[in-house]
Amino acid sequence: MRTSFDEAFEAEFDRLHRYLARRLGSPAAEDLAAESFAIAYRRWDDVDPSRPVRPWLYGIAGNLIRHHRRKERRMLRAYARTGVDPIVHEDETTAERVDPHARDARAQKAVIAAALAQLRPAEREVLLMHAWAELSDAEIAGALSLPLGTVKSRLNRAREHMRNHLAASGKVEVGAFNVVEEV
Amino acid sequence: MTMSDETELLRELRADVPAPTEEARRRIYAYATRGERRRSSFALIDWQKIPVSFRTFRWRTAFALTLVLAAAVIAAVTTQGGASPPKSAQITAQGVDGVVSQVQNSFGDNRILTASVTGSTLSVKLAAPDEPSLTNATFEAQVLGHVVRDWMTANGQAPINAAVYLDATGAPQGGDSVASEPSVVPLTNGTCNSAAQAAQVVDASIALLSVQSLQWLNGTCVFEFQTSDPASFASNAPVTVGKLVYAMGDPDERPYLVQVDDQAGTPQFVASYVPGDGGRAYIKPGLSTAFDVGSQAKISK
Repeated sequence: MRTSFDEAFEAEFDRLHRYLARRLGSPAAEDLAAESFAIAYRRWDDVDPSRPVRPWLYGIAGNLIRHHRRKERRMLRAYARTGVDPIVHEDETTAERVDPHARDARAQKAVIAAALAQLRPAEREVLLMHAWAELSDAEIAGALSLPLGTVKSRLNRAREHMRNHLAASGKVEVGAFNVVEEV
Repeated sequence: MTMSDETELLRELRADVPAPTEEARRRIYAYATRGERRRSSFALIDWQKIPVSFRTFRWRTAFALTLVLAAAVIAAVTTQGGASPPKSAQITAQGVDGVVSQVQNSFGDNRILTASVTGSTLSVKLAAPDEPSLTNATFEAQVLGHVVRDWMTANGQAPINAAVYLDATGAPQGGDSVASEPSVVPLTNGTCNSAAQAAQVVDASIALLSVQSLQWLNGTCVFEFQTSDPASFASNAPVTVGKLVYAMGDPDERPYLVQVDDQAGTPQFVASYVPGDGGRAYIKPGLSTAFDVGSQAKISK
């Protein structure tokens, strides 16, 4: 039998908020999480009880995120350009400045942000639902109302584009993805 | 440094975003559940119990329409004899004194000392000169006024249209006009308890001391909680009490009283509401809250 709205909120809130915060930052995550759950609450009794809650909820959130695509891309590009994530605001510590591994990790993250920014929105959506929301392929298909095969092929294409971009950056080795230290 | 694949690399990106605060969680929950849930007739049907062949849209529509028609026929038949009985008419009492006695006993705290009807006015003497007890006592007197009016109407007597509240010495403490309120469906068993649990979900600092589910006005809930953190409760009171009221169903159409004590048993917050009479609240001096029970609220600090 389907869970109650309160149970679903308890089970999904942290996870959905975290996903939204990784995509658009904490302030926007609060707004979008509130709106997602408000829509879910209003429609709760109209939805087929046999349908799993999680994909439906992420589908609602995904529709709301679409209004923020340009902002998301801008923030990823800023991250790639400056090496400072506008979402997490991590200041470089003295230890990081002198530790080559920490410095490399920071540079590597900026490259990943650049790779994400260059993906097509539909590919980014599928890839981040997979990597950040940790949804299964079937759950992503449910969330985006897509056939499972389309999700799989879109996910493969997104990963391939990411791989190519990382390889082209010269900072991440293709194949085993050995991070090459900056000279 | 070796990474297995791009997904692993991605999973490390922004892995340390801050978790939402408890306050944000409560705020978002309150925002999400602030509105009415839309109910379609489909939602009233447990489709899992219906054979698969009946679950297509066309069959659902036909089935739902049949149910709606059947409900309409039943409603028409049951109301043929006249209007539905007034609220609280089911009480069995010998005269107004009997009604007063039943209501007095149901609250069980002896705050209503005496009550009598003179003409169209009910005079209620209360053993509660000060706050916060005055909020509890006024609530009980307001409920009594509606119960007496409904009983008089149901028993063919000219009903009261006003109630005055007096302290133990007979000095006036205020009053309300008493009119018939729209009927609501009777509160189902366990609803008051469920509402109390819902409030505890949004404020973990409160523990339920007691809950009374009374028959008056088709369902009245009286809650008493204890909090380990009165300041925190007071600041979240709009959300917590809001959750409680919505969980009872038919908000603004059911009487309720919520009392929250500190760990020494001293009341910190008392809020009450009676349809037609409005809300009343006491907040212990020194506590800060944005709690408001609406335009009719009388906040006593």
